[in-house]
Amino acid sequence: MADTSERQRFDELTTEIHGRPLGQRLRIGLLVMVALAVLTLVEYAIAVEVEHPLLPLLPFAALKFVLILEYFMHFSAVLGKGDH
Amino acid sequence: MAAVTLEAAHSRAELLHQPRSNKLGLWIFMASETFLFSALISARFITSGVQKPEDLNQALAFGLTCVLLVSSISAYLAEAFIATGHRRAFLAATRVTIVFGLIFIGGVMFEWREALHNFPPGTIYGTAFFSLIGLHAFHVLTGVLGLAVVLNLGALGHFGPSNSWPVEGVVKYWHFVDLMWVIIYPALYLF
Repeated sequence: MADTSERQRFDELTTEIHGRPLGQRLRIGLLVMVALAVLTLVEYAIAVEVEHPLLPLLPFAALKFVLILEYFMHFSAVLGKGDH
Repeated sequence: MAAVTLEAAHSRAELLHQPRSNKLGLWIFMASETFLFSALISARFITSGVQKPEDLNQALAFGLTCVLLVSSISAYLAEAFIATGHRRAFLAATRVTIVFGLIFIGGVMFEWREALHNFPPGTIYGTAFFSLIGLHAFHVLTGVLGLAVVLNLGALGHFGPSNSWPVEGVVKYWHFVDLMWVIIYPALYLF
């Protein structure tokens, strides 16, 4: 019982410091990973199929850039937004 | 009693106040590095337009991209684990990230061997290719070294939920390297 409440207190404190509990962080990380993998596959397919792929590829590269910047690097925390 | 309470309050204050100036310094550093990469990416398009050689190894480049993406999630996990006090998981995730970083560097070396024959550094595209890939590979190498340092310190018992900034800093740098590849990959191989 004491262990459980201690663990709960520890989780609350780390959540207070780092913004999100571990389980939620893992879910976000995996979702972003899947999104990046899908976008990379789409990029590759466009590059192979389209003759001049510059313009069609730009939104996908930009989206990958934003996903990494926001969810892996916590950029919004620099601007004082979000709870990272 | 009062001393204990004061000490507890002090510890709590330390926990809750992140080293903001360190974070800002890292972001400024990464912004300056972005200018460096941007200059070389611009040079690639100014000198070669949107043309690319036919004999680029697309399969290898796609594989390297996947390796770097997987290393990014393991780095992310390493940061999350140490911030929540899971040291063993942190060490495992950091080791995985280092291994993937080394695989990436190995892949780049293999690719260079091919590229030296197909479009040597003296050609217009070759100059852009080797400059960009070389600069990026050097950043991957320094990232691997940084990860090795935090792995070693972590194994010795350093870092934890109240002191995870050094890990966070190295992992942010690793994500930055990944971020640059997100632009370099289409710029060199796909456009």
